[in-house]
Amino acid sequence: VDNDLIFGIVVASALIFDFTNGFHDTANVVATSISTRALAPRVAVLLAALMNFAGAFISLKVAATIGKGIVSAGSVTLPIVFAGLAGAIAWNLITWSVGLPSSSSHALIGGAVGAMVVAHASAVNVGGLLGKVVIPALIAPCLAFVIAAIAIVAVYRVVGRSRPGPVTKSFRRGQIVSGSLLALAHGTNDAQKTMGVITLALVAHGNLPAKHFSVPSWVVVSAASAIALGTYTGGWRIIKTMGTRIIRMDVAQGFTAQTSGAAVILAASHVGYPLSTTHVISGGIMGAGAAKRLSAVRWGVAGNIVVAWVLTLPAAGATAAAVYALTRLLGGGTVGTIAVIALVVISAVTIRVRRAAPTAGARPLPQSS
Amino acid sequence: LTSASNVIVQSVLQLAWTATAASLIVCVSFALALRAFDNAGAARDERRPAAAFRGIVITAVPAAICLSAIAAAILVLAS
Repeated sequence: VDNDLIFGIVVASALIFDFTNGFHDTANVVATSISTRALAPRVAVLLAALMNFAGAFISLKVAATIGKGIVSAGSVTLPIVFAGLAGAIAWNLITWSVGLPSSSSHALIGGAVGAMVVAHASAVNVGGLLGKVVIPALIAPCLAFVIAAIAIVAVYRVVGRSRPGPVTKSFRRGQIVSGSLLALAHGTNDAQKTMGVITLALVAHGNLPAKHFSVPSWVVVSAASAIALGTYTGGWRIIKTMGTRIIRMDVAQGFTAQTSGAAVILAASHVGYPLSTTHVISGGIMGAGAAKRLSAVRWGVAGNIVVAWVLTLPAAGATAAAVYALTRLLGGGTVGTIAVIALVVISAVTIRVRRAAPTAGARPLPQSS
Repeated sequence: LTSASNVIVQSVLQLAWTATAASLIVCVSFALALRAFDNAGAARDERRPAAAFRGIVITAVPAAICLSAIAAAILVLAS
């Protein structure tokens, strides 16, 4: 019964993570379409949610990488998976609260590896981590930057002498397709990470064999639903950062940034790399801006995003390691996990109450929604 | 270690090549279709129906390439 309870907690945490992933990453998918006025915000978010849901059913290669390529599935226990998820969720919420785009994927992987290092350091597949996560993490945004830069130069050359009005109108329509493609790519790559984690939990719980990796249908459907719901709920603060604060885009730049991003993510999903859509689309936006005029990119904001990228893996890893150590300190297993959840809830409520106290009775500040 | 490095290099090269080719095919063919369509529109405004018809026919070629590339990318991924 104890094991079933902790399994239920892990699955619920994984689906909450998937929801926050969709919530957090909505901006990556819809910001360019909204900032160029190709789509109204609500329509863009609804379209992205539907395409995310559909994308989750396309491939399972990334889920396999998460499930067996980074840590040894046979050594994973339910408290380790829980600690990894807790670290990832905490980091996602921190970066969301300050309006910084970070990588949900790398938060998840950093969390899993951090908890595993404290539990069984030898079970971490360093080669897999480097080859399938770290190297693609470095290459993907650069690749999207270069592709978007080449593509926008080529596009400007082709349509340079055409009448601006009709061309702009057609590019806006094209952005509906490129935005949908990006959302599909996002659903394909990101929903699979949660599928991989739930499958790891199923192996740890004894429902699936460690040697033959397969994702049950209910896992695919629930991960697809959670990410789609999170996407629909949206992350308006980050939409503002991504859509207008990196560069001001014209429709051709939006189209090329989205197409380049989608191409990189879909190609990576085919190889099984758990890429970050945030990294890729940010690289694409900057590439499309820099090719037109280097000063068009607000490098200060871009620098903040790079800092968040660099911090994500170690910060989520350290948080997950601390959660796992605390779980063990408080008795381990189900008791430790429940004690940690209680501790986190009490801390969150305390912080909330303390923050609210000085402003009680004062006129509320306008919120960016 | 060397064989593992080779596998990583090959995968990364495959990723770079596929993404670059797919992205450029879609973006450039879409832009070509837009230019041809715009030319067709300009010809229609100047009351040159034959040129407008030719422009529409020419538009269909890059538009078909663009849509085929998108469809192929999704089908390859799903296979």
